[in-house]
Amino acid sequence: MNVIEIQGLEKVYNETVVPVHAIRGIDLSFEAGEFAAIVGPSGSGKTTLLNIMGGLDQPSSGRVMIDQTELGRLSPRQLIRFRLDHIGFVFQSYNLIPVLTARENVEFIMQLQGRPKQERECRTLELLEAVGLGERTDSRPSRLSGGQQQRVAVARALASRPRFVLADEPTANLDSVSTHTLLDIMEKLNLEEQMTFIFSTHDVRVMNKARRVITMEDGKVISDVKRSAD
Amino acid sequence: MITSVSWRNIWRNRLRSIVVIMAVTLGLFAGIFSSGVMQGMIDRRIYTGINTELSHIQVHHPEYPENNEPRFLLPPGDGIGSRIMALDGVEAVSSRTRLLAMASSAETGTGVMVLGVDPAHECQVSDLHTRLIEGEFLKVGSRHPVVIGKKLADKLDIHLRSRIVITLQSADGHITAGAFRVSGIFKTSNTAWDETNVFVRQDDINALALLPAGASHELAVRLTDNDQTVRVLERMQGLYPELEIRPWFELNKELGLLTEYMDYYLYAFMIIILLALAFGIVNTMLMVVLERVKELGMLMAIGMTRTRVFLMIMLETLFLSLTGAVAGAGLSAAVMAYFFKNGLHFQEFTEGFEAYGYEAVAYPYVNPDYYLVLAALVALTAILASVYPAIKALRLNPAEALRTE
Ligand SMILES: Nc1ncnc2c1ncn2[C@@H]1O[C@H](COP(=O)(O)OP(=O)(O)OP(=O)(O)O)[C@@H](O)[C@H]1O
Ligand SMILES: [Mg+2]
Repeated sequence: MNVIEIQGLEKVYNETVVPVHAIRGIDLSFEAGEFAAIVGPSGSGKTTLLNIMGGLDQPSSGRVMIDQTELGRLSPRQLIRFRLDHIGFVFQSYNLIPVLTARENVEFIMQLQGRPKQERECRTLELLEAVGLGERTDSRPSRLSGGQQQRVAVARALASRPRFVLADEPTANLDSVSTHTLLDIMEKLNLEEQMTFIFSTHDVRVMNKARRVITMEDGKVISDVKRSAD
Repeated sequence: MITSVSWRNIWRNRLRSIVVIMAVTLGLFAGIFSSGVMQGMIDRRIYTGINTELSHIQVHHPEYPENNEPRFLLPPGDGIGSRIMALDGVEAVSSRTRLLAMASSAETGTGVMVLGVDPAHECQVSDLHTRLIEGEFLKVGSRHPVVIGKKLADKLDIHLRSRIVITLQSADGHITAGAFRVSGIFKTSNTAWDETNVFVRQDDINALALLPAGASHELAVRLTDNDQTVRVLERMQGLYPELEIRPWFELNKELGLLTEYMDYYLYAFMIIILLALAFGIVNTMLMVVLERVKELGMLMAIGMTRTRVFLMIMLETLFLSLTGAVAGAGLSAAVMAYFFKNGLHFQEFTEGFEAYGYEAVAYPYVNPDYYLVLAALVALTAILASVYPAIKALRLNPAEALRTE
């Protein structure tokens, strides 16, 4: 069953002044449990696509269905709640609240959801263990390395028990060792928790970890390759 | 957790927050302290007004306040005085003869108000006898003593034991004059009052003015407590509807207005200070929002509602302002406690103050309620000041915010 269905997607920025066609007709679908990379040159529309899939931006035409819910039909309020409960986000940077510790950052999103304290605390420790930060739970982001911060962000993304995680260039600011660690953790969570991951990247090594690679160019999908895990 | 995020956010830019907190602290201190000084001076002014100049309540013939003519005497006999004395809350009553007169020395003369009093009763109603700088208050055994103010003594160029002549219109309409000897010189904080009021024995002045022995124009009533004024006043007015009975705040309209409008002045003053602070706070919070565009974008992206973003910024503003307010209130309370004990002296300006009836020393004081109202005003200011920056934050589009570099 498809978690995400994208049909006839178009996105034009600056429609009044100088229109920029960021997405020119995309049809895509993702199944539960996928570990997919979106690659393509700079400006090809990766971020735009992920933003629209995550309900952060509206398409100019076409539609995005997530588990039978069409994002375009939700009110702004409903959309925020939908993101909170169904979509996990990892950004390139500024993922964490600087004044909260790793543990508090992960717990924060569950608190927004209104989950009970007991559950929050258990899941937070479990996830921080899973991303290898069981020892650093009380550190603030400024005391963590870039790679460690991204791992907290992944833990945070999973904390809300979303249907899938969208990660826009999660490794762009990381060195190769941290990149590897992060990818391994994501892969492990993908396999152990059956969490769907969709991430964009410029990095060939990251791309090679994915079991599906979607290549974009100039706002279009030019190839979509699935392969078995190596 | 939003509360704790807001509180911790204050300390992200420590220096900037401390500057804002200091501004609120000093602003509030300036406001509270100067209000306290004003309040303290006014309290002293009213204290002097009641204890030295007016007493709490005065009784006159209904025509007397308008005309000041010798013939408008209170009904004869001692009945009124003793009945008032018997009322609950009355501490002392002094009956006074009150006549316009001319006081002259060998050098010069000037118009004065002569008050003929019984020293024993007068000393229970007024504290003037404690304000003598020379001599005694209508010394027993001396012949025709008069007590005058320092200002008048200077004006007439006379000293203790000098002779002055008091000229007035007697009850039969003729002009008459009598010689008096200065037995005491007083000095209050109100030079205008010192210049115009002279005290003699009631018997002496009544004889000179051909008024019956014991006749008087005025009963000055001292109460045990100023809070009783209205109650006793109404009781007295009920007993003697035919007489003119007025409390101190009507006898001296300026004092009445001071008490009535003081609060408005204090709050108007505070509101101006808070308004100025509000601009500083708005500016700071706008900087905060601008600096955190990416972070706010991230928070909205992962699912923080607009209400919560708004609340987070409002709370941060509130914490920032209230921290300053608490510091300002604490500082004010401490500094005022010190000066309340030791007095805040304005030696250089003594003359100017006293010309208007104010002492050149203040015992700053504000009503404790004032702090509560101020806390509410600061909170309100903070909430209002946070609205614009918070709206700025809400206008952010998460996708755009995350793209900004
Ligand atoms: N807010 C915007 N207004 C106008 N044009 C935009 C806006 N955001 C993106 N674009 C344009 O849309 C196109 C696609 O941009 P997008 O950021 O999706 O590409 P990308 O594949 O993520 O690139 P990169 O690899 O550099 O992150 C680009 O030409 C970009 O300049
Ligand atoms: Mg991008």
